[in-house]
Amino acid sequence: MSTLPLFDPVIHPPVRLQLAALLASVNDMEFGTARDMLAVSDSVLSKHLAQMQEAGYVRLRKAALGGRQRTWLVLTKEGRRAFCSHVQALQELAGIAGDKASS
Amino acid sequence: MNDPRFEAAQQLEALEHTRQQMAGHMKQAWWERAGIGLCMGAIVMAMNLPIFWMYLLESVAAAGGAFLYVMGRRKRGFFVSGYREGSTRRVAVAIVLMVYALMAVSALARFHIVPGWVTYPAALMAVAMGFYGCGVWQRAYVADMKRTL
Repeated sequence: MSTLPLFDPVIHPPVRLQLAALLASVNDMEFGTARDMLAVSDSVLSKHLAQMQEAGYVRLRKAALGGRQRTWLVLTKEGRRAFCSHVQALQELAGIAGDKASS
Repeated sequence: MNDPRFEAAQQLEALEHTRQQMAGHMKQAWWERAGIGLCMGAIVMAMNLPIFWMYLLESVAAAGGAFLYVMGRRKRGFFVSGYREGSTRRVAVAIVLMVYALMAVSALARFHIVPGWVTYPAALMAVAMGFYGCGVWQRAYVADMKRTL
């Protein structure tokens, strides 16, 4: 009997997973850049960020850029760990799918 | 009803698409690369100057580096450390070690252990290394992003 990997419910929704993938590949990212790359609205991104922030996966930092106050998003160590393990779980699951498909 | 395995494969595909999108955004302008090269060249050159000028030139190089950092963040909307995990770290460490070696050569010229003119080719090499090193680093980053998760 095989055991299915546990998914992180906070990271699982597609927008949050994509956001985690973006933030995992940089040190920090400006809110507007993340919004444009994910092609979502301000409110949608804010809602997802609040969930990730509550879980301790994302840290928000206010800093000036071009003379204007901007919000910078940083993936915390916990967030990075959760993202990596979630991706591993996905790979494990997709691997099972591959085996099934080829058999 | 969704098949969780198919859904997992779809999510992984979406993740790879996001990483490739990220790779497309990591583009350094020629002037950024030239700027980094000039800062490195200045640091190497400074090692063979009188103390006052050495500190002055190194301060100018540090200010130049800070300016490039701010401009890069403003332009791209994100910041990636040169020492990030992956093949990019190896490239960054190699560049830093080579600059240290060139600084040492320049310092040897300062103490007349090697001829003074050696500083000039060393500084030029540092400029070239900064310029081309940035390109190599960028390619390493793009390759990391395009690599399958």
